[in-house]
Amino acid sequence: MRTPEAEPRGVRVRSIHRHRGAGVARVLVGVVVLAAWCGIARGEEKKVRAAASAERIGLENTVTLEITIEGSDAAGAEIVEKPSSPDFRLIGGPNVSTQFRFINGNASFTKVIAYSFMPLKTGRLELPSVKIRLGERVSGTNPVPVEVVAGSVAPPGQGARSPFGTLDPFGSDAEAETPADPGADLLLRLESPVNTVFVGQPVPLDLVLYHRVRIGGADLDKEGKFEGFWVENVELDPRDPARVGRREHDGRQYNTQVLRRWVLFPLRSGRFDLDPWILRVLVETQTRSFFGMTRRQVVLRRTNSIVIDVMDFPVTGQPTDFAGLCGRFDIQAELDKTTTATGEAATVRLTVRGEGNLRGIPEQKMAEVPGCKIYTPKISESIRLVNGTLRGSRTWEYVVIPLEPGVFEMSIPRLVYFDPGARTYRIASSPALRLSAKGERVAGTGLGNAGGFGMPVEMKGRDIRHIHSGPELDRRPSGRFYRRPWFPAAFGIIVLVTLGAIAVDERRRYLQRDKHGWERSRAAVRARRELRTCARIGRKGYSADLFAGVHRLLQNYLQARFGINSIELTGTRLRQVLAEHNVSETATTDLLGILQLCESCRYAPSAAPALKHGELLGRVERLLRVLDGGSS
Amino acid sequence: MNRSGLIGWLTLGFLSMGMLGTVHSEAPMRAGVRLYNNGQFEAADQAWRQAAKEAPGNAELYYNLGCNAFRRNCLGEAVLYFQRTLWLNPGHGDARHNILYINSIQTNKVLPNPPGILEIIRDRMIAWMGVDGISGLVLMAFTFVCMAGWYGLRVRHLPGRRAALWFLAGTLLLALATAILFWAVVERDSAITDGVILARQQDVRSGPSLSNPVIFSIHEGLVVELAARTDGWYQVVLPNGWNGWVPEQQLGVVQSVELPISRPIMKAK
Repeated sequence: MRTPEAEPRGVRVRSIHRHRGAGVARVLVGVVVLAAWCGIARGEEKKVRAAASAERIGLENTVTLEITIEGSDAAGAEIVEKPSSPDFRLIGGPNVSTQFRFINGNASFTKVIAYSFMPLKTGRLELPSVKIRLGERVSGTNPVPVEVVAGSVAPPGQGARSPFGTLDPFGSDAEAETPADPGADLLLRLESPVNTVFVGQPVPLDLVLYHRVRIGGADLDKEGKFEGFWVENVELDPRDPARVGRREHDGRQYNTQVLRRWVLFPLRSGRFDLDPWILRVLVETQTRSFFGMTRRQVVLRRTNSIVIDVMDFPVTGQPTDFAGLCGRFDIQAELDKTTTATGEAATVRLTVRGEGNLRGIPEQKMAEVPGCKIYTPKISESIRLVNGTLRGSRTWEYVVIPLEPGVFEMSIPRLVYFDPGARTYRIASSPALRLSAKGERVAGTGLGNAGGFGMPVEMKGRDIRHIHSGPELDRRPSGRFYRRPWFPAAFGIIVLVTLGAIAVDERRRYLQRDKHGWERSRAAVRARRELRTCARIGRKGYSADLFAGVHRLLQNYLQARFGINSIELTGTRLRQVLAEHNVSETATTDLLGILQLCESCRYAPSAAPALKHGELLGRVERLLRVLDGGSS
Repeated sequence: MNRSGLIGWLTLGFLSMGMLGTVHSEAPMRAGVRLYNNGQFEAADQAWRQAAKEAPGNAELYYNLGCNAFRRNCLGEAVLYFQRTLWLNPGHGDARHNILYINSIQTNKVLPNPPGILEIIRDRMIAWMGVDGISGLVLMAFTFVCMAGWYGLRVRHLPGRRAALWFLAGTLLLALATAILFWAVVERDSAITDGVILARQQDVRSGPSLSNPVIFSIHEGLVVELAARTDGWYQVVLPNGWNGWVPEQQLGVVQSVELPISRPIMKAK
């Protein structure tokens, strides 16, 4: 990292000692350590000095600032903070190397710290001071003056080294052949065919690498900003052979490679010094060694200064509706149909073609036409970069809906632009369009009314929906039906009703299978019902109706229960049948007595014996119970 | 005062009290509408809260509370009320629209999991018939099954018994489907499954205490699944499967009629 001129004698002593035997080396190391400690103990004087690799450099070159610290405790020196300067850009470092010297029994250390800078402007500049901590003391180096001139300056002698050193793994053996900065053999340039333009006029710009050395690779270290310009990037085809070639610069032939391409459109007038770009380039050089090894070196290159003068548009002859459009343009308007029905849409297509800052064309607003609704246009464009300028077209499509019948004339807005080639203002225009509409006036619309059929609906915003204030708000919520007690009760009722229906049905079926059994079971029910009727009649006392009712009751019962018809109702027959049904003699006698009593008294109630109130009916009821039981 | 006059005055008094009671419960709702339309959102919130305490379970009232919370820039509360509206009435289109709108502007973009086909059917049926309608349907289906069973028994010895058996089988299937639907409705009604984050930003911890580490943060309005509850903490599960614990006062439960603590009006972000 040090030039041979600055190399101290101690290095040579070290190289001589290096070739001696290992045993001797061990002894020496011991002596050196001992001597070093002795030196520290004696309070050896510390030295810090700074130097630049060159006193005069070009704006496109780099410079190395070397800080050398000597002293017994130099190995412990530390950088307090990175150096910074408004005049230089720090591009590398710190690269640190240490050396040990042993001369005439005195031992000392030397530490070298190197930073690489790139100048940002020309003039007499100063490399910044560097603060270093030595033990507990912080000291700063003196600023180092450097003269920076425009362009590139070949370094003296073997030139300045790369701040990144060599990437060759055999570096120690090749110290005597340190690669030099390629200097003017490697240039980075911003190139434009025009330097004076009007506002909005395209400025083609290329970033070109000029080289007469072998390039291993490159990447951008700093991208410049094109302030005051609208920038259009041009995609470069890597297979395009025009990207690489040979060009002459300052009387020398170079291999060239276009790295980037833009088209700049000035946004305002003035003098613009374009921001520099910095490229990191890997340079490959052949060594002169026996094996012909390749040495690779990273160097930085900065673009040349390029100034673009942007002129304002001339005031003389400037139309009032000029909106800053620069280039050459043509305007064309057409209707998709010339006749339509009211309420139906027609489309006006307005196209601007040409070259220049097409993206800066202001929106073409059509004037309102009474009786027509003209909607916000749909904009489309087809623009591409051709030969350093924008070419193509922008199209505005307006939906026009006539609201009433008639012929409508739609004027097309004119386009005012500045032609930089002729340095004059020009106007592009198209004749007015005529649209004929037939049919009835669209209902609910008047002149200039926005309503009508078939019109597109546009969403202009979003929000939540409004609150509800209808009668449903006042509805008191009732609890869930299934949570009420009658809900499970309803299931139980349905089950009970079903079971009851099944039971009744089954009983009926059973009784239908045995007709006599059915009639028998019905006889008792019927007899008791008739008995209740007789009881109502008997409330007023014994009467013919009562006796007749009781007689009829017993007749019906005997027929239904025992199958004895009224015709065969004799005492003998009755006794015979009742005996077959195991009815007791007492009950039979009682039955015959009641029948005879009723038979005789239903025609002459007054002949009835003295009976207590309800006695007759009580006897009948007891008799029926006995007869029912007798059948079982 | 004679006896009939006293009875007349007492009757009139009871009727007046009844009418006053009715007016008292309806007034806050109408007052809330008027205040909301005047832009007095805090006052409208108070009025509707009072109404909700008096008559809980009114879906329209929760919907209005949600709109009001949105105007007060309380997105969490708004989502909670709209979700509650949908819980009570799954067919409430405006509440669904407002939830979708709030989802588009809220911080968390954890998309909710799409509902399963059974949930869709259940919600459609509830939206169409209502919970009470489904309860009635179940009752009717049960009645039909009983009638079909009775009829089947009655005609079991007759030539037309095969048709009766088919009728019985059909009603049984219908009743089974209705019973499953009813069970799903009851389950939906009774289960507490969803919560809405109410805090502007809420740390979710790995356990139910502040000593547990924070594992992620969520923002207001996010609908989470409630997996467990203990000691004032809810275990929440996000739609993407992440889960953790959140203090219960920082979220509102959808399947509830409790009102969250109202927050003062906030300036829009």
